Amino acid sequence: MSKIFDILPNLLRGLNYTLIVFGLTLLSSFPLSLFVAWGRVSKNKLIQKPLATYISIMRGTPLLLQIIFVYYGLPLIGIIFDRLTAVIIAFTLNYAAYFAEILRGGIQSIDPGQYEACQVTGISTFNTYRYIIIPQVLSRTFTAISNEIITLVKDTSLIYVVGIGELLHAAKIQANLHVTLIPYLLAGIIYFIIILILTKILTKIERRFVLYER
Amino acid sequence: MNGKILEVKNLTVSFKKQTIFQNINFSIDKKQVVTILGNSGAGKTTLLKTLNGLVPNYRGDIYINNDLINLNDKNVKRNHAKRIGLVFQDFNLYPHLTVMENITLAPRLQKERPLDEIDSEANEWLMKLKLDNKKEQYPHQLSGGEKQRVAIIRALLLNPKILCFDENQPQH
Repeated sequence: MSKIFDILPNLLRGLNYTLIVFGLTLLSSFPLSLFVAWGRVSKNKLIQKPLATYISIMRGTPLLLQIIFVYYGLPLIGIIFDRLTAVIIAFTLNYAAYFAEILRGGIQSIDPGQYEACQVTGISTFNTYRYIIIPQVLSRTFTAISNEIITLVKDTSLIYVVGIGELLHAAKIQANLHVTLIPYLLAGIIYFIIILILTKILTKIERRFVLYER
Repeated sequence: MNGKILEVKNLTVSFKKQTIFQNINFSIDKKQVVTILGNSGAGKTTLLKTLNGLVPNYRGDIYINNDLINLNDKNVKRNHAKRIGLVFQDFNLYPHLTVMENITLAPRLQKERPLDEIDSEANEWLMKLKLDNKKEQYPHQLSGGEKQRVAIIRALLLNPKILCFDENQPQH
């Protein structure tokens, strides 16, 4: 029991980084994904094609490799970021691509009649997206987006690769130090609790905003 | 004084290589009610959509109140909702908005009338069409006939000079 009290504060310090990366990635990648999704359904090939390539690269290579590329690769051409910034950039670009593809599917599933109804009532394109399309897209894609958000919590464990002591990394150090598997068990419990809380929050949001869909 | 509210000259609409209709000419007087008859696929819906600015690159001339309206001009199109309205065949209500929100969204966004005036006019129409107890409900909670009446009020609240109904038979 005393071992647990020795280990836990170290794990909680690691948890800080896990939550920082999770929060910052979500805050930056989701708004970015809205623009990417909008560009992906654009009829302008000059916007659509580069975005398709970007999404293809992000989805076609492992996130771990992308983190390594941003932190270790970019300095070779003179672009240097500190560890945390590099991780946030890699995570944001990766998650924005995934979110964007989910949102694109949502946008394309909207009945063309919704756009037409806006057009004949004189609603501008911006307001059409703001009041009519995006709320319906978010509602339809909510489950898929929730899954990605939950995956993001677990993916934060990849940041060990640049030497940031997140939760799992902290657990590994404690396991080596105390020659026990208890830190891994505790880390697993902490991940589980975070995801449980997150699931509760997402379910509440879903019940509130996805009420109308039948 | 010319009493024509709508005049269409040589109107042609084609999608890719398929011509939907060609060189249509007709005029409608003020306060006149006109029914357009035709087989399925004859282009009735496309004609109404063209008049409402939903079909780009049409050929021919559309006059409303003797003014030539170029619906390929964005600025002209923006104000077109005040000239002409359309009640769609399948209503196209916004599923995530309540009845009240469905009918008042467009006039609210136009910002040309005070909000309480829009709301009171909306309430009057809801009362007239026996929907006053449905205003907080969502489209999926309405019957076909109720949806149709909501769609009609949505068009009427913009005070268009012409109102088009696409195959809107009375529903029970």
